[in-house]
Amino acid sequence: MTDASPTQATKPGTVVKPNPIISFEKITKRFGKTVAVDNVSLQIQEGEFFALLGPSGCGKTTLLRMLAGFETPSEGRILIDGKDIAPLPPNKRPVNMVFQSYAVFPHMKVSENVAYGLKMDGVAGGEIKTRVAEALELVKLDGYGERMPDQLSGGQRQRVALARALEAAARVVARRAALGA
Amino acid sequence: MASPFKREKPGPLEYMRQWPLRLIVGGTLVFLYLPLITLMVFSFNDSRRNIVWQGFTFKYYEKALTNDSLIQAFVNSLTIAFFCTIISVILGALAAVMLWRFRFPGKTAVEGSMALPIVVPEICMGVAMLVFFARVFPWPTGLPWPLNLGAITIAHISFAFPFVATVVRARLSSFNRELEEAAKDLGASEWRTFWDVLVPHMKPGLIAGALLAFTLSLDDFVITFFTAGPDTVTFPVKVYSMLRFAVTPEVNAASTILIVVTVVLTAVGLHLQNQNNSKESKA
Repeated sequence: MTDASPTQATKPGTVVKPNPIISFEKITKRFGKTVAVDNVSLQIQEGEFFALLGPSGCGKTTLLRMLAGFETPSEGRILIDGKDIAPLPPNKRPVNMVFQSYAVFPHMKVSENVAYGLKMDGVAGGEIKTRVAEALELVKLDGYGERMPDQLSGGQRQRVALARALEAAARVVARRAALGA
Repeated sequence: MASPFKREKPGPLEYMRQWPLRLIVGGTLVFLYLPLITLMVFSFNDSRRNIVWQGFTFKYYEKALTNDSLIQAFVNSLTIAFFCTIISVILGALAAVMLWRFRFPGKTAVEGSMALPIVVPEICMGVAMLVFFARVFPWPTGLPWPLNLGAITIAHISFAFPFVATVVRARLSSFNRELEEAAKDLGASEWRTFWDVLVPHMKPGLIAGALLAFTLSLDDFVITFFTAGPDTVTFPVKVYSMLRFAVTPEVNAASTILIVVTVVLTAVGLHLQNQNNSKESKA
């Protein structure tokens, strides 16, 4: 096997900017004897659109799951905004993801799905309503709020998952702005 | 080449297009339901001996509904079934979640012992319960209703909750673990995740399990017979004691009422389940 680890994502010539919002430092993940992620270091700047590409089984998902908190790195640490997130459980981490199966809650309406992260965050009911409407508009699903997930196509479900993650992540951005960080 | 409009040979699963299968289906239905229909029809028979049709009457329904000890047995049965259902569903669901979610030493043993009440002959369970409540844990006598039904209720829970656990466990195996992760990713705690994602997924299993527990408890005779005292008679035990004197249409009438009650409850349960299914199953 040739070198197919996500390390490739950091080009040798990349200029490392001073304040990356997400930073992986020498992350290694082993499952038993299998090395899923091998000594990866990479940094993502605020506002950057970052794409991680690689063949299947190279550790992209494992890396993402470690960021979300569903796996613990065997070695190395992950920083968000300069802070080590190792002690935080998944529900306390200021990151959100779109799952491979989309994981749209099948028993909730589209609008309830999108609202879930906001509800967990204790956002007031009125604000949730307007923000859900905005999020659905963003993914071009306005008017679909009352539907159940099984009344959507695969692509539409993916967009619900995206709106849900974006809306939950937006709270972090908003909070950061409020704190002047 | 065969014309495309020619009727094709029926496939192996097209039951309704093959007359031998239609015959078997029809025969099975007759075999299953004719005894029940006979029972219901003869509950209206105006005859004490209940062998020959003598004419139509509601007399025996009146008699059954004014028979205090029969009503008491009926109420006892429903009360036991009610508590048995609630506790069995909670215990069974928790057991299923534990066995599905965690790995722990002795898990296989726990799984096996959970299935035991399903396979152990009822008569053995009955005798075991009799000995248990006589020697190990005597249930105090003379307690006010419904506390005097405690022994029977405990016995019923012990054989009903493994059925609930089995049904819920089967349902859980189709759970997408990413849903749980998604809830946590969005900020839900373990408890919120359990209530918001796992319980809604388990709901059809919980309803099916509740129906099972309810009917198992309602019509259990053998185990109840060994744990019932003189003041804690249930419906099946009461019917049995009535039959020892004479097979009167009163027994038929009482049984018909019980059938109607169970059919209605089952219909309500299935309706709830269907509502649930149409909301989510295809996802």
